[in-house]
Amino acid sequence: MKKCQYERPLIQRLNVGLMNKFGTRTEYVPFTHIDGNSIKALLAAYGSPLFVISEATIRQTLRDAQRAFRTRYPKVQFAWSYKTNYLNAVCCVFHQEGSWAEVVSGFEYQKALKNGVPGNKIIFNGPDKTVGELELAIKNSSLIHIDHLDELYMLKELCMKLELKARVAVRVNMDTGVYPIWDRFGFNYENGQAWDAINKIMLSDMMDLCGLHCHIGTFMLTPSAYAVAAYKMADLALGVRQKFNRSIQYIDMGGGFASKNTLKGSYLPGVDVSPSFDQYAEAITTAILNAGFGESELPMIVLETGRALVDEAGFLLGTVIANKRLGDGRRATVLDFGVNVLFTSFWYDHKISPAQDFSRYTEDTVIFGPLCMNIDVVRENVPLPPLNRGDHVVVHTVGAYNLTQWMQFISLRPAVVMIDMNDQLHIIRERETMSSVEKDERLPDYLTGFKL
Amino acid sequence: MIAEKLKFYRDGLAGSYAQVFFSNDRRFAFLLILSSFVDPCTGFSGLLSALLALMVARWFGFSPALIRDGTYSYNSLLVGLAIGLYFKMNGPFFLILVLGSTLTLFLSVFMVAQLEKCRLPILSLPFLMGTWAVLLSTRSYGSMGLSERGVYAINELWRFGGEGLVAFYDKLSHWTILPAVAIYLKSLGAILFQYNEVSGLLIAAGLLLYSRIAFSLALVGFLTGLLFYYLVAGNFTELQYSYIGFNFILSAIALGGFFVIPSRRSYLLVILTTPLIGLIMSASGRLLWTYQLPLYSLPFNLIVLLTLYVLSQRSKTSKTLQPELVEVQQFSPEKNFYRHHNQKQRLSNDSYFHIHLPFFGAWYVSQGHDGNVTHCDDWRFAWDFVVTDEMRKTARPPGTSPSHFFSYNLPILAPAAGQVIEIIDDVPDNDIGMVSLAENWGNTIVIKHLDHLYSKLSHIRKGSFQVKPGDYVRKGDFIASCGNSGRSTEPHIHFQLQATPFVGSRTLQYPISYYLAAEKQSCRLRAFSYPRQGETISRLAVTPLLRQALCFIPGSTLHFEVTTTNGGSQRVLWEVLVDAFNQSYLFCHNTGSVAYFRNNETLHYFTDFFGDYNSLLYYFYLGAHSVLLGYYQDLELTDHLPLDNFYPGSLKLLQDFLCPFHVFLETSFRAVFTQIDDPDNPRSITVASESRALVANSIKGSMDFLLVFTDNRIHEFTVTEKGRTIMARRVEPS
Repeated sequence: MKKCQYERPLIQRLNVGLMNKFGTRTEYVPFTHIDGNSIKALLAAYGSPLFVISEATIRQTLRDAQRAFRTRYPKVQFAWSYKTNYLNAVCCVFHQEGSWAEVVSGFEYQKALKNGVPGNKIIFNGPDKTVGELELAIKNSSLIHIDHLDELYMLKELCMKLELKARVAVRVNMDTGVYPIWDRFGFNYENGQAWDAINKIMLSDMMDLCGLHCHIGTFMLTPSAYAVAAYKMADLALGVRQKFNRSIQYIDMGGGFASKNTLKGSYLPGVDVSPSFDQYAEAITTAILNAGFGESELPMIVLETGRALVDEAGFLLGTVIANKRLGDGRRATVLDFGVNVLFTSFWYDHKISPAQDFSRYTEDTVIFGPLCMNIDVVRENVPLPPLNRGDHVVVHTVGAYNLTQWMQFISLRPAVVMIDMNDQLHIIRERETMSSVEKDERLPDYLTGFKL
Repeated sequence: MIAEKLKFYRDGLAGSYAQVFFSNDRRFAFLLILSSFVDPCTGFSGLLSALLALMVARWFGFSPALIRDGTYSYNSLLVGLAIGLYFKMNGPFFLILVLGSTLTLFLSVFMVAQLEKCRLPILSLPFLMGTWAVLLSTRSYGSMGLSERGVYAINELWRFGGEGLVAFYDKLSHWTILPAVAIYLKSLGAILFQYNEVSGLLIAAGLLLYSRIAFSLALVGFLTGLLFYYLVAGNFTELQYSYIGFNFILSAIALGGFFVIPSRRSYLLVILTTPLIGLIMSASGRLLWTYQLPLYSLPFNLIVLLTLYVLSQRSKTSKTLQPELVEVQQFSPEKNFYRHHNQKQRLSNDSYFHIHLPFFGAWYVSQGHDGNVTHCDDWRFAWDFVVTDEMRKTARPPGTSPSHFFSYNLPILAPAAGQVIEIIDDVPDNDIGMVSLAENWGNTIVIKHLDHLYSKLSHIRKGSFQVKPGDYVRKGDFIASCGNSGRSTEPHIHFQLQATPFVGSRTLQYPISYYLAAEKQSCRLRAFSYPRQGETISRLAVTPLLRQALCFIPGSTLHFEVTTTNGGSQRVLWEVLVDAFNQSYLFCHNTGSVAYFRNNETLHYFTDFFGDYNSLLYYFYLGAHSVLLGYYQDLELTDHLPLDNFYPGSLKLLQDFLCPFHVFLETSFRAVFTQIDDPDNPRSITVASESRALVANSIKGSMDFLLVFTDNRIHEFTVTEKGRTIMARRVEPS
């Protein structure tokens, strides 16, 4: 028989309400394994903290999303949003499943090329594209999504200089009934800027208008906003067909689909409020199918959703450093990871599960990271069972944005491990070392050597 | 102008002679003319009569096509031959010839028009009436002298070919092993009123040249006739001296291969009908003897028309009506056979209305025809479709509500264009685990596509209809969403075709025109097939580039610059034309070749080719025999080529003899897409195809083709055959 784990005693206030002989229960169950690999063994092998990516979850999620769209619409293409998670291993899983690449900087563009994505399957978004980057994108026949008029003029000049035709799309922003309106990217639909930009492109022979692009927001909890956006995009596409007798090849609906995370301030947990892929798909495809295109001229739908596809595939494993009681009596637990590696804890109330057995009793706890900074709070208040020093915890749904926005701040960043389809482990990013940080540092000679 | 006129008469004459033997072969016609001149007077009279008929017909302004192919004049030719044989040539002779020829022409025109209504040929009925009229009438005209030429055949031979021919004839008649052969040859000659073996030999040679099947049928018919006479101890002199044995020959060709597709059964039909001819021969001989009239081809006419009419009255419910009647006459038993063979192999589905799958993406057939759950009895020809994940699950956990099911609320599309006849939209979705037996079909839509072709989709989500009764829908229109209403345990689409417009009508076995069936790593194209239970299937999408490149608009022209490996270079011009029967074809201005094609919006395919087998058009006909209009990497398209225009050579001659019984030659066509510059927005697509001629799986001939489509048109076409390469590049008209 296994030895029972020691749990320190708790004092709990009795709440008035219906009597329940089991007391209040937690939503947590011990989370001991990811895809057949024990958390204890993972941490023992790769150190704590540790990011784990489940390849099976990525593929399954993407296939669910693809099925939701492809059973509703004949031409659908996913493009992997690099900024969400550009670890090469993760990108390549998406590319193996048929996703193109969607990049927002020259750096990401190079990364996509290096991963072997053909130039004409890279969508180049973002407000900041340099002349050199645009030149490369034109030569590679990449899809350049124009963000502002200055870029449009620059592109036109560049095309004339290179004597090449650029494949472009116009980024459109619009009122979809969700506020604040994201009107800082692209051209506005309602005030006619977008139509003006489309006309400028159509009337120039230096650019080939392949598509229309919008990205109405992030973590969108209302699918109907996409229906409004899709309708407005279809309206522009039909306008182009009517005025110029040219078909728009694709409508890029961007991303912004919510993952199962819980936004800070949200009343209900994310798993309960986040729409499914089917709901997004239905909103988008129904709007476009009913817009008035003929069966053979339906534009391809491109989707750049990142967060909803990868968030659930990521786990952050960590270890309890210490427990303490705060001045106001609240219980606090200090973990070995903080906002430096779990950047998204600024946005989400992350779900945290203990990785070992515990009893049903919980206590409201503040979770702190290891940083010597006051901002380093992972959860302000979470009912957790009492944890001991050395216990392990798992943070769920951390696959999106953490591995691109994490900071090398105070401590070194942890390793990232991928569990493949056969539950085998592959290290996909090594734990940082002193040399990986100091590699690019330069110390002027006169500063070497000092006496203290 | 005059040259044009001469050509017209030349064709008309050739047609008149060839049509006597159901042919339109000029070489055969030439041999027939030659054999008719063994007795020059008869020959001349016949020629003149045919020419007269052609001129009169043209003057009256009958259908130029029917004049030119000899349909109106071949009976006059026969009448002319008869008059030439019986009467001495003098002034009144020519008057009678003109009258006889014209009368027969009129009879021909009348009968063609009348018998066409019963889809029957006129055979030589006008000739019989014309000749009998002449024979009976001239008995009262003193100026018409009977000729003795028909009686003294050797005199005629001497006059025609001198001493040599007589000697040859003499030798031949002594050398003849069997009297039957002599009778056979004379009977053949008698068709052109030439009662001698030389004519018979010429005709027999012509017959062999024209058609191997006709040649063998002639023998089969004749021998059966002889056997019948032998069995009933008939009067052989009838055969020996009046040569009416040709009735057996002509009937055999007509019923064995010309009006009926040659087959074992058609040969059997010949053997069965021949005694009937014998019977009619004896009977009508007796009757006509009263008026001292020869019976000529009366038995042939009666029995062939009777048999054809009887065959056309067979009930069409049985699928394999054998022997089958020829639908489109190709004027050769071989061609009739090969066309029919090819038709059966690849074109038998052309008559189907195109029904497509009613959904987007890949769906799983959870119940097919004759399914083990509900698709039985009158409702056996129906399909149930669901969406599954990789594990074949149809729902995500916990699967307790319709909305957990992948299929739920997915769009349902119109399977084809039509009008919405009926909609039921008041049945709520069942909870999982419940079924509504009272509202068996649940929410349902019935769409009318054709008279007696309706499609019905059931178990639709309440309130999801995008159309209303009376609306016209296009193929692929979004009409409703998948639900779980009626007798449905989980959300799915029930799809069936039916002949009547009611909800609950019995189902109709009708195929889905084109779809893709998933296989382990790839997918396979299914054409006019029935999705089977357990298959994962999806709609076939058309690539605009291919659709436009293979859309040949009537009146447009295609110019090619053709270069061959030996350095030759040539410009070729094709024109897209449409004939009177709405069949599109490519016409090559350089060679006069013609290639018929069809485009059904999913497939471009050629149906037939006539003309020069060295022309670029012929190679294009072979190389682009079938091209799928949707690009699918690694999807293989296979097809068959018509044997008769891809199998020249000696093996083909052997096959001609054997084809009614066994086809040992095979042809295969295979096309795959090899290159695409950008699958989502292609500018250039390459198709590699190969045509193979096979005997027992060993390759006897092969050609490889490469078709490059760029910027919505054919850009380049390469043929490789035995190391020789011909390359054609599309160029602008100069």
